[in-house]
Amino acid sequence: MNFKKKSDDSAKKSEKHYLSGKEIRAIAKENNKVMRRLEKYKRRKAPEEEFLGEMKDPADILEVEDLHSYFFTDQGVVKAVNGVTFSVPQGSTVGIVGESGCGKSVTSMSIMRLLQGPQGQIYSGSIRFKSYDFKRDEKGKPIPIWDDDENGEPVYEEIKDRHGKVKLDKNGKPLTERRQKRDRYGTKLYEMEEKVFDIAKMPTKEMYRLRGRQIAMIFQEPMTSLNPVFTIGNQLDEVTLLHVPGATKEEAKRRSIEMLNLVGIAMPERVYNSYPHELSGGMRQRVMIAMALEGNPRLIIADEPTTALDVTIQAQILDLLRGLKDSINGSILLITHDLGVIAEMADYVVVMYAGRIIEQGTASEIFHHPMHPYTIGLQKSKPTMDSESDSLFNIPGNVPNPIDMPDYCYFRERCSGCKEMCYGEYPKMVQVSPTHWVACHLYGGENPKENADEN
Amino acid sequence: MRTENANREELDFDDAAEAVKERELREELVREEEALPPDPDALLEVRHLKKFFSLKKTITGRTTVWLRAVDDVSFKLKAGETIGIVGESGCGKTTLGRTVLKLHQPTDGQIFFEGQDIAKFKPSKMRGLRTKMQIIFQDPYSSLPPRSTVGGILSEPVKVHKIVPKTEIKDYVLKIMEQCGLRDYYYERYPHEFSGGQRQRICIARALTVQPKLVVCDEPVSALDVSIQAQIINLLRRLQTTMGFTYMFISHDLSVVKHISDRIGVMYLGSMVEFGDKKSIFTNPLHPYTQALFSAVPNPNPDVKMQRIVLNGDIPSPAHPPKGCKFHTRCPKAMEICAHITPEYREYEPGHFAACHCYPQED
Repeated sequence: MNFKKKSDDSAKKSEKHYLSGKEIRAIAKENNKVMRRLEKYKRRKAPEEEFLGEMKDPADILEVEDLHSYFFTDQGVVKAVNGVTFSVPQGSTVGIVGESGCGKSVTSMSIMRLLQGPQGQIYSGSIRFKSYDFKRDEKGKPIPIWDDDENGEPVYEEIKDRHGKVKLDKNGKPLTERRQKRDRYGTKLYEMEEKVFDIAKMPTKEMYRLRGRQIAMIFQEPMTSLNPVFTIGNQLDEVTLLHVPGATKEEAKRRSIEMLNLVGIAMPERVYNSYPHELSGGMRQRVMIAMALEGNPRLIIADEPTTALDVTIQAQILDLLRGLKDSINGSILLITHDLGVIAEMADYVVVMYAGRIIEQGTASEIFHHPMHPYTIGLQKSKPTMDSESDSLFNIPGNVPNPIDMPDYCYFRERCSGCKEMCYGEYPKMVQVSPTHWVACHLYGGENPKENADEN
Repeated sequence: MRTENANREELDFDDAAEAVKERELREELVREEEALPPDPDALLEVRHLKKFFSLKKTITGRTTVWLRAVDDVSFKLKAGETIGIVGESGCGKTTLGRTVLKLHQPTDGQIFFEGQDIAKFKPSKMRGLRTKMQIIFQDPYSSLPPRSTVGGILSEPVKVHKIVPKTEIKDYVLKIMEQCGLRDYYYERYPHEFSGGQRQRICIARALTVQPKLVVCDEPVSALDVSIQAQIINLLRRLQTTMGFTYMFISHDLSVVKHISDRIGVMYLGSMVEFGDKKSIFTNPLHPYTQALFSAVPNPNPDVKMQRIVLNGDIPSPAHPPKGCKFHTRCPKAMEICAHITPEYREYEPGHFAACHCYPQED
């Protein structure tokens, strides 16, 4: 094709910068240094005191402070999460909204410490999580809660094997053990204590204490997150077997079936024995939720739990999640791009754009008095069921290239309300009400309240 | 074995005879209807369209299990209008769209396009009509050839259908690109260099190059972000007003369909359960499935707590649909009759069709 470039040569060059091999090698060398240091930090052996901390607000269950999660690629460092600060209060639902690539999933993956290493790393910041942990004796074993009789005398019970038969010792006498307290699903109870962990500082091995037990995650695509070669029961039991010391297979099975019941599966016994491909999308997502509940977590992270589902099934799953939050007395961190879902579920909303939080507040503040031009645009650009308009509002342009982010406001190019100040540095978070924060120059200055009312 | 069968036949003899009679009666009605001339106002008229896929075959090649992807769907579409097709995944929306364009050979039924019944046309004869009907696919990432440039992608249909002389192809393509909001230096770029929204623009431009009359949009915005979605929807609407397209807009997102359509058809398990004007269908949804579907859409207003009709269970397998009304297994208003007799698809208000036993016949 003999198509000659004309006047657009300059525009083309500025839009995409191609790297030479030499440049790529230099970047890779630099990245390797940082990645090696961070990987070593993750693998280190550390005493517990090193990653214990204190919550700023005792009502919170999770506090993320100035979190930076980077991906070290050969094209450059992608700052997927770039200074994110928010908190999840006990017993509430916090929603994170944003478009794809804004860093909402990377935030949740950072909290779970599941970033794909060595490229993906938590670079700095802290994630404080108030967790329950087993109280341990001098040998490091968890202390059971004994189920004694009224006089405080220990009660002994016979040990049974898999088939319900009593185990016998060499002399033919039944083996006994001291009776332990159990919860309503028949799982053994241990003494617990509350500790505040700083997840960003924990070595990877220590994360096993929290992951799946105290923080659980529901993933977006239920088909790819269930293992196709194991039965549902097998995968559900694993959680109990791993996280409850001394749990037997029967106990695990009983708990799994109870959990399947809890998420509204009609025939839990049958689902327990089936494989993931035999279930429909809604059922699979219910199994994922059951798996998350299995460890009795304090925080459930739901990463786009309904995106792959139909509206009628989505309604079922949202109803289920809302009901469960009360029954397990936990908190939910809900990540989605659907404003409707957020409005229905969340108490607090965090709006993210290009790796940063641009606005956060309670749900009614964000939906009734949105401040940031991006939040306003996002709400106007979504057609709703009761709007009557011919043309949709649209935000022009695209999200900036994540590799070389500008040093001014990331939204400047797409913003309709640009001021002179926007050509300066990135705006700071401004408090407009006790719970409402926004990062925009429009609301800076001395009396942000007045500015807010004008708009 | 044989005696057993014979017994059963004897027992069911009356029912079977009645069923045969009923079937014959229905077939006669269908034949009468088939003979009717097409509506001259309609650009597209679909009558009793069926598309079955064979799932299981015997050794001799006879199909024993059919998947009824589209089962007896009828509607009319005037030139310049937009019809929105909504439904859950697996209800046959996409198959309907493709069958209308004859990308699938229909099993039965008639498709009138500009007064011609194209259902029986051979592929060679269809080729001449391809310039009048185009499709925009759902996934802009997999529907563009990765090895050709945007210019190559857009000029191929122009060359094949000889829309403009060879020397003017490039100018023509650049003009189309400008209409779709693509810069002209994109001409020699490859698809992987673009974001999802830009790729969808390329797909739209490709459909426009042959100047079609009917464009089937198969979930064109569901793979895109909200702010990009609005751009694409506005583009589609602008093109409709300037070039007078007729859209068949397939989507599972009700709010988008409501925004763009003039008429809406709601599908469930291969059948059209309700069809009508946007206004009448949204103010007065007749079918319980439509009502449940509308109430399930999350409202972006935290203070409004909606009265939601939550349907139990999942959509049944289209290979073994329930007898009678296909929706009766999940229907909150199911009656006894629903499990036995398929409700008739009839007009309740002018231009508003539904198939449900809840509304008695007014004969």
